[in-house]
Amino acid sequence: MSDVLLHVSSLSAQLGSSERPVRVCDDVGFEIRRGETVALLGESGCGKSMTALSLMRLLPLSGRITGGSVRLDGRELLALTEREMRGVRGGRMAMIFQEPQTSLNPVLKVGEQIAEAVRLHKRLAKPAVAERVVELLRAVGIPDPAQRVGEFPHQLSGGMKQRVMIAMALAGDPQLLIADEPTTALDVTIQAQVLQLLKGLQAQTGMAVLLITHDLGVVAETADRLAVMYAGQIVEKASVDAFFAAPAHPYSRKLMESVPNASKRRGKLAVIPGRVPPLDQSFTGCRFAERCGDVMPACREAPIGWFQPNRKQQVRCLLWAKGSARFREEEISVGTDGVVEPSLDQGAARLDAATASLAPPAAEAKAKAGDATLEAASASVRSAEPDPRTLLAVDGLRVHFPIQRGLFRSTVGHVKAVDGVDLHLKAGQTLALVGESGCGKTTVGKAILRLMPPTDGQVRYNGVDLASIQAGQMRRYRKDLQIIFQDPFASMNPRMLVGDIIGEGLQALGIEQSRATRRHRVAALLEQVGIGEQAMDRYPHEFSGGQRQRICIARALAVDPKLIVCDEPTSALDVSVQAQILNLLKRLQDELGLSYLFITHDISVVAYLAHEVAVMYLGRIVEQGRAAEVLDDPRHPYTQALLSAVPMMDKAERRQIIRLEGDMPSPATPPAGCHFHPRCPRAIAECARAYPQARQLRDGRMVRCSRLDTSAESA
Amino acid sequence: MPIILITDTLIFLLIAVGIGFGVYAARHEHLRGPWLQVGRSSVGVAALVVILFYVGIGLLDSLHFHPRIEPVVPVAALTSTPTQADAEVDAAEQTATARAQQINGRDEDAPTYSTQIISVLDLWLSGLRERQEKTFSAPFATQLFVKEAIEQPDGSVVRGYPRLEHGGTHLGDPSRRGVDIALRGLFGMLTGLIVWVALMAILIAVLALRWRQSFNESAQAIWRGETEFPWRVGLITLALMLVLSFVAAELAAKYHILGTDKVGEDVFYQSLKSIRTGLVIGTLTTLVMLPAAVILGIMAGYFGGRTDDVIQYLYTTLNSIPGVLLIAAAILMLQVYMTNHADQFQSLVERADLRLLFLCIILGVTSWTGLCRLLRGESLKLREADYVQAARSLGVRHSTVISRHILPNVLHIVMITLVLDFSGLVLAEAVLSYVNIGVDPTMNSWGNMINSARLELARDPVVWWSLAAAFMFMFTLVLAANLLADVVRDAFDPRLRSAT
Repeated sequence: MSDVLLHVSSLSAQLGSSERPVRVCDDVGFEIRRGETVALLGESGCGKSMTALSLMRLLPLSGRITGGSVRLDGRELLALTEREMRGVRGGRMAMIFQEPQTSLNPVLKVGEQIAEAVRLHKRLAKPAVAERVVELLRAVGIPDPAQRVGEFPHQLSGGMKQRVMIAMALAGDPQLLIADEPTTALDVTIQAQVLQLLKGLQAQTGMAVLLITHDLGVVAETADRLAVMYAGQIVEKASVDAFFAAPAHPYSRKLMESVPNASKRRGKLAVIPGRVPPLDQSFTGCRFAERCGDVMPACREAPIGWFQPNRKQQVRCLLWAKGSARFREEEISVGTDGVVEPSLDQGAARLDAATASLAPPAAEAKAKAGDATLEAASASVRSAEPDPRTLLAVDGLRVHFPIQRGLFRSTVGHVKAVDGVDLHLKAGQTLALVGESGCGKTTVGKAILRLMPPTDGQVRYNGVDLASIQAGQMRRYRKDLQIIFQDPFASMNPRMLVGDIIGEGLQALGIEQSRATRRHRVAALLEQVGIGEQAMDRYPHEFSGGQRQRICIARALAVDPKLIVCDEPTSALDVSVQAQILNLLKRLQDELGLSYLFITHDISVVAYLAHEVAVMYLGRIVEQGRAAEVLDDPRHPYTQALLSAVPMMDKAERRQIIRLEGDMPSPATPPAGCHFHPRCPRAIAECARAYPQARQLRDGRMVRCSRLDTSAESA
Repeated sequence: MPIILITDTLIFLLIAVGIGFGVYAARHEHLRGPWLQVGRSSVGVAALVVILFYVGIGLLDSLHFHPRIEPVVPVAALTSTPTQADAEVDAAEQTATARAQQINGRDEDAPTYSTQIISVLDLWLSGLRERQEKTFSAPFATQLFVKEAIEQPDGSVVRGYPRLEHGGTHLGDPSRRGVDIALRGLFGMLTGLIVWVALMAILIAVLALRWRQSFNESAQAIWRGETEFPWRVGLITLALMLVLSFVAAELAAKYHILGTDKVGEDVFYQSLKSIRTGLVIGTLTTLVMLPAAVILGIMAGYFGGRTDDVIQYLYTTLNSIPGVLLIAAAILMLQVYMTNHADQFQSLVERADLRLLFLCIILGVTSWTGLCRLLRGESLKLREADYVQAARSLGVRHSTVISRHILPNVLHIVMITLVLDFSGLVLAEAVLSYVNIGVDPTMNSWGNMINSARLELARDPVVWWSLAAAFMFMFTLVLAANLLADVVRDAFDPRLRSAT
């Protein structure tokens, strides 16, 4: 028996009508060995999920498999009857999906749903089934499994639900687990838990995993081998080590270069021009040719075959046609060609020097953390450099939502979404507000703009307290403060023309009264964000996600703001598009002197873009300081755990993952004392008594942790 | 002398609103798209053609006027004499006319008008309207349905079925009826087809001009079904409707094709007259309820808090009162008012019209809650939408946010509800008239037809034609409306649209 578990060759599938089919996967071939993790990597719309569904023969109604073979353990799956296939699904290969919220039936108890999966594959007596369910729940690391069996899905958190999904998938002891973006909907700390769980289960049971993801970091940390998919085709197959050392396909290289991180700070991120081509056309040559920097005439002429640069890599690219030496030169020439910003190395060096020079005072600060003289010391550090004017000062901001119950809607409690947040944003700088979902960071952004009424606290913009002025007076400041939202598809009225959307603020605030001048200005704005004025008379649905986000930026820019609240503006976008948006934001900051309050959960974006970072946990800021310092040397245990959980492409940058137990508590009933102490690896009894006071460190950083002294020593 | 009843005004207002909306929709992609999709569906086109026929008849019936009376008074008096006690209403009107003529007769130069109000449709169907029999007669009958004492030429009296006064009188021998019907039917069909061919030629010529093709090419494209819009289906439906109309018109000239009712009135005429009533109920009710439902629903969802509480309280309360009870109370109150102030109404038609309007209003009052609730839910969701938040952060006023961001995005719900409600309301009229709280008994409506026919179902042999005619006309309209509603819903429902 060979060690190849799944062998896929020239698999093709189509969706939609036969006259104009969407070729979701075309000539896809790969193999998975026993106990191995293979990642299928690619941007959205490249056909990753459809490939997985084709393997399971679960394509949507309009879809069909048009050719190829899928052999699981030597057995041809495409030739099986539907009845036989049902035994294979779940029994031999199981699948978990991206969205744990919708994958579980909300009206059935968790135990029943797992029991159903168990019964389908094994004839067991009732008590044996119940036993097996508890055993499965224990296997996926759910505490008190016996008790959780009787709970409904809504009583579990997102991470827990994904664990339950994994337990259901494991019920039939599958040899192959297909995980379709299993952690995309989860926070990084939960993602770390789930990925670790998958690894552990794999080690125990010896099953193989097909991991579908768009996250290069996740691939680097979990997979053994990977296949890069582009426009329905696999363009590169490699072992993970070889791939991250030197990706062979131009698409893979661009993809890696467009991931933001601290070392790319000074330069522009590499972008891939254009977008993934629609799959309802037939391709003749290389599908990436339109967007490729190294395109040759031969690329467009005939289908590209496979080339093997080395023993561990295979690539569908003509650059490799004449052997690997040719490519080496090519790569170097590309490097100096300006695709990668030439000043990158210098920039990184400068950054290193900067952090190095800051290190001694930081070490000093660590030693004197508890000292009363610290305040003065940090002040002296700050005064040493030119200090830009503070544009926005948030002081003790609270946003509480009343919980109302009963017939008369009496208030029985408050959800303390934001519970005393202090922020200082300097003119022309970027302050990143980092935290996991549910910590209240979006609420902070909306409360600053008075889109939600603040309960308490001050929001001083240029000295004026926006939180306490009348709603009517707020209109005067609307011009200066703007917001960009996360979802570019939901943030524009689908019934309005792009020109009207952008011009809305100009009209509402009476900046440009006449229609002609307004159109003129809108055209200029569209040029500024790189869309072009012909977009004015089109509807938002005609644009891709990245283009829409540009239009949203143009709308915010229209009223000439000083400060833009960016609420996760890139988290709904693919990494290559994200790079375009980040470049644009950075350019606009340089040109217009904008300040950004950048709300995000993505640490790599923070490292690339932010000057200062504030880390938020359950409605409060736990650590705030300059980006380089906080990210390189986190002091609060939560920040440390958060940063350690971020998957890294580069092995050298990886930290030992500090595993956090459980989930974030509900903001309606925050834990007594330090909010973080129930999950904190360093908590002592004292932590539960009172919320720790803010402490200023010598380098100007603020940390709220009472265990800081010892943590500094141990670090 | 034209006269405009209140419901006529509202109907023309509705048409104006409809045309205005059409112009607006044509300029906005998000509305034009779904309507074009409706136009592309063959079911939708067929239903539209049928509905257009109904609407055409309804509109003709909405142009009212006082007919001019020929100044020859004695003839009018003479014609009124044969009408017997069995046609009481008509007689009363005729005497009123006579009286009016006597008054007007004094200044002989001015044209004289009857106090009677008739519509263009009545004028068109005056043959049907005036050819009254004594009582029941079956469809295509030449004799009455009930036995009467017939005086023979020799003076003896025989009990038998007398010949009708109008139906089939042209036949010397009633046994030749079948052949006559077939011939006339064939003739009607031929005229119908000729008219259809003429219409089709015009349409194809227009299309050919627009497509920049020759006439033959366009005709072939249509017949092979290769056009973007299913012209072929539309034309076939049109042919069907035209042939039916012309056959009916040809036969109705000589027969009572759907029989006569208790007072000898032509049932076919009644059915045609009822179309307007049905359409008015189906459309004006929505016009009445729409502003309240849309404004309150959006306000409740958008502003939330106290506003929401008040509006929710309002519609929950209203919804818990049985609708029929409320309608009965309102109609009975109106009836009392009308009896006490009889002098305010110049004619029975005006009275009936006011009652119809009231019925629309009260039906509207009881039925706006459903739409209001839907709109509240949708606005509640839209209020949190990023683009509404963005508009607020740009300092856009609430009124502008509602009109520019909320309203256009809930319009599809309004559209779907309107079309779905239409057929329900037409049926509701029938039910309400059946329990005597619907339209005025003197007004032609399918509900009244059914109501008056129900007792006759107990007869032996059964008088089935009134009921059958009302059923057939109503069924066709409601079926067409329902089919159209399905197509409209599919076109406007964003979830379905994204799925296809």
